[in-house]
Amino acid sequence: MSRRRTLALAILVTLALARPAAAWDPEAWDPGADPASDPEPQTADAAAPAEGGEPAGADVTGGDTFVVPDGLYSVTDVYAGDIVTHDGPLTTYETATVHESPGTYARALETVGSGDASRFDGAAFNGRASLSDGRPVAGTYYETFIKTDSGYVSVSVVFFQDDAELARQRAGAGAGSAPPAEPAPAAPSTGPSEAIDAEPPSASPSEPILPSPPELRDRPDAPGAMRRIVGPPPVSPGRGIVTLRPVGAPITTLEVLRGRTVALWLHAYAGDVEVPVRSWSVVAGDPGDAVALSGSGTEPFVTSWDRLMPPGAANVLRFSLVARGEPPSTPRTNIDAAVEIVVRSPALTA
Amino acid sequence: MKLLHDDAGSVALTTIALLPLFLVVLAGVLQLGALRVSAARVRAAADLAALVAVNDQDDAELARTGTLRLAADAADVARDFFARNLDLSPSLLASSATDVARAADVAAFATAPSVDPRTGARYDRPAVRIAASVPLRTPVLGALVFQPVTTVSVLAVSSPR
Repeated sequence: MSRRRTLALAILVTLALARPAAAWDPEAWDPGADPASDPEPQTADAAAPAEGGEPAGADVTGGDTFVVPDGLYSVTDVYAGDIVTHDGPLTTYETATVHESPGTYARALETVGSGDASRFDGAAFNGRASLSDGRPVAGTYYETFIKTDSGYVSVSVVFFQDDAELARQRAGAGAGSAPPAEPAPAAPSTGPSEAIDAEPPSASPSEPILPSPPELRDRPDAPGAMRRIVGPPPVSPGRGIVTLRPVGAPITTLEVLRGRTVALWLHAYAGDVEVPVRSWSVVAGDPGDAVALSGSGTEPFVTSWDRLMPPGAANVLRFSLVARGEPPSTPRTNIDAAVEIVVRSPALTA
Repeated sequence: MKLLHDDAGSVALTTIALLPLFLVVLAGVLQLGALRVSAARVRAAADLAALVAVNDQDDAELARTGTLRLAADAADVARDFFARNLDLSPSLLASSATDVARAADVAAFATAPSVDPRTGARYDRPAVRIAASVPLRTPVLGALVFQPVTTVSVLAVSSPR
């Protein structure tokens, strides 16, 4: 009887002293926490300014205290290039991004409208394009940081253009017959736009203009959208080309005589600027009697084909190029290059 | 009477009488056979010359566009190799190989499609055409009241396929 009482008493005491032991939820955000005590900025998806835009807090690392720039967030999408698309009279200025987490941080500096001047003009490494009338395009300046032992160090400023304009096409514009140009809804500019006299600086007339997939761009003016970007920007060659000479015209289809040795030189381009190719490798297609299936950027792909292709068959030879950025410390990028090979042989026809 | 009806030796007489005719026919057959062989060799010489000319491509154009185009001297190459090939059988020719090649109608169609004004043929790829009249020696035919020289016309067209 005494034992039962003792056991019951022990259980009651244990239950009375018990406290809930809640596990730490890493996803939960403690509104009472001091942002200065958070050693890492918030991620991009929750990159709202800390404490309503209050001055930056302090980050304590190794006993030293340094300032965390206001509005800093971790970069999850990286600048990949400026895109200018023409759709009839509509010209759209956008920015391509690549989903990547380079371990850097960024913050928005200033969002500017069409024609608005900014104190950051000239500071962005990618510049700021102009509309057809010469006014600078709308967009947002972002500043990129890297985290060091002494704090967050600014490394670059990038401008994400986001603008559009309507303009008369020069070819179809009669004197006084065409309707006056007007800014597109996306362009906050109210001034008249002239006919497109020249391509924007970021567009090459001979270069195909890349479309801008919607998933690659987050408009800062879209409700709820948040720009999660920035660098340091990797070299992002837009295309790889094949030539038959170390310096030659790009070819997409190559007719080669059976048994004839050919040397294919591989090049990578970022926009209209060639970037060095670190290495290449054949990833698809019939390479023929190739000397090597991979090599450095300074040597060509040398091969010959001893067999004709079956009628109607196509041999698309694809290469994977590793492009080297400038300076060399910038990240490398893989791009593809392809050429269709048609093997022919002299034959009698009569 | 027996002597009148004895036909012994008549076969020999008939053979002797018809032997020249048999020899003429045999010589004619042999000459025609030789002529066919000669014509085949001449045709082969033209075909190979056209093939060689087509195999000579414009490397600069290939590097620029990636497409096969005949070299600018494709016609000259065809004519030169035609002469070289004919020169391997001088005993068959009634004139020199160089003269035959020089007189040949050699045309290079560097772009396609194109139409051969001589034959009316349409070429869908760059082509080289050799049309020649080659005089061949036919001494047996000449001895048999025919011409001692027989002219054979050859036509060779080549293009990459």
